[in-house]
Amino acid sequence: MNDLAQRLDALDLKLDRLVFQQDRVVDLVREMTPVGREVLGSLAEQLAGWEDRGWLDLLPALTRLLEALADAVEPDDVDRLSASLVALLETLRHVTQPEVLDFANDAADVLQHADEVKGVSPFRLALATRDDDVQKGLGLALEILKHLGRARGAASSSPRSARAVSTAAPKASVSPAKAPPKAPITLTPAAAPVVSDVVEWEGLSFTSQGFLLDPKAWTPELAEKMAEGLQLTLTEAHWVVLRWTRDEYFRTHASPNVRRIATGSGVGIQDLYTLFPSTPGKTVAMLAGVPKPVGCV
Amino acid sequence: MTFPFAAPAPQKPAGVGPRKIALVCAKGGLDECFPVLIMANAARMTGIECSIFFTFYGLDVITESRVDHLHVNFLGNPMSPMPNMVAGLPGMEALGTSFMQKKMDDLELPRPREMVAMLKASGCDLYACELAMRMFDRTAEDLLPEVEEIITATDFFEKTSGADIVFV
Repeated sequence: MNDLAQRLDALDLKLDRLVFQQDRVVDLVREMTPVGREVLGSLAEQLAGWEDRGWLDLLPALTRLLEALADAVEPDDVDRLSASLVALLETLRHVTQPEVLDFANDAADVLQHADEVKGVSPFRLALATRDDDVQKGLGLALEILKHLGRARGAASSSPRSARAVSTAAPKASVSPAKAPPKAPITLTPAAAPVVSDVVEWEGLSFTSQGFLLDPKAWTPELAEKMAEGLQLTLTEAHWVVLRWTRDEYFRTHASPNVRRIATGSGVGIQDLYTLFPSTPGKTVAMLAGVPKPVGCV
Repeated sequence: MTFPFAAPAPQKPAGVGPRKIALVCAKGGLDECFPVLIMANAARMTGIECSIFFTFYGLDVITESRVDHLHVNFLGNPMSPMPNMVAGLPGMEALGTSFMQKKMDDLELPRPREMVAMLKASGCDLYACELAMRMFDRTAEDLLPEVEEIITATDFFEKTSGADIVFV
């Protein structure tokens, strides 16, 4: 019995605490209700106001815009943007100078009366260039064109555009299509010759026409043996030409042809035709163990 | 075993003489004479015997006072990049010439005078047309020293018998 009374006491205590807490919650709610109502009310008002102004309709569009921006812009771009903003403001300041504005006004006046301007024939154009003002204008236009060209040249060589070209992803289609710069014309491609048939001789590979495939495998003894096969006896004059040709090949990675051999080695064209009869350019390349020369001078 | 390849000269069929080519150069424009000179040089480098007959305006190419002043003429040339109306303006010929010379320098191509010297050194025979010489009042002294001989067209055909003749 005693035990039961003790338990009831404990339960009573807990109940008291519960009631107390409940009271405090009710107090809190009573105190907070006006505040909450006010907050909610103002929020609703605010939203209603936004809706009135049509801002809420913009939200989905804005979300899409942000998504697109996040897709397209990289952190680097943002850095660059902040840099260009300064330049932009600077430009704006220049443009809003009174002289420039006056000029723009004048130009606008002329454009407004564009209907009254008559067409100009080439002959009249020639006459018009005698006018002082026209001459000054032409000078100015040329100067602007020069700057435009320079800016374009700088833009096409900057790493920014190089990246735009290199990422051939769909993004590239957005950037203005730029034709890649023309490769310079070269008469002496340094690439290895296209070999259809390989002939083995003395443990080395030759093209079907007898040009050594690997110039590094060449030895003077090999040249002697080849010359013997071509019924040539190599003299010191021959060796001057062969040594120079090998040096030139390893320097430029292109076999020199007759004119370059003559100017470079100091052995004249006429002597070349005597030393290496009939086809000096090709015979020299063959004996020097370098690829067949390209070009016709 | 000896080197199993022949010299890189053109192979001639048995019983036929060496391959020969005879070029006729009748125009003196920079763009018109250059193909002749290049073709002749290429022929020599390929081991083909070659001779050139310079006639009419082609004489300018082997005339001492004219060889360094050969021009490119855009007027009346349907292949020219310039409209005829513009090409006829004064100075356009000089402009075109300087453009072409610059391009040739970029490609490290020799000027006509050097080309003629190269051809002579490589064993190409250069002939001047006798009739054209009289027509343009030129004497042997007016010509470049590389010129072999002043001959008539019939002489030329005799000298180049067996050659392929190309009129450029």
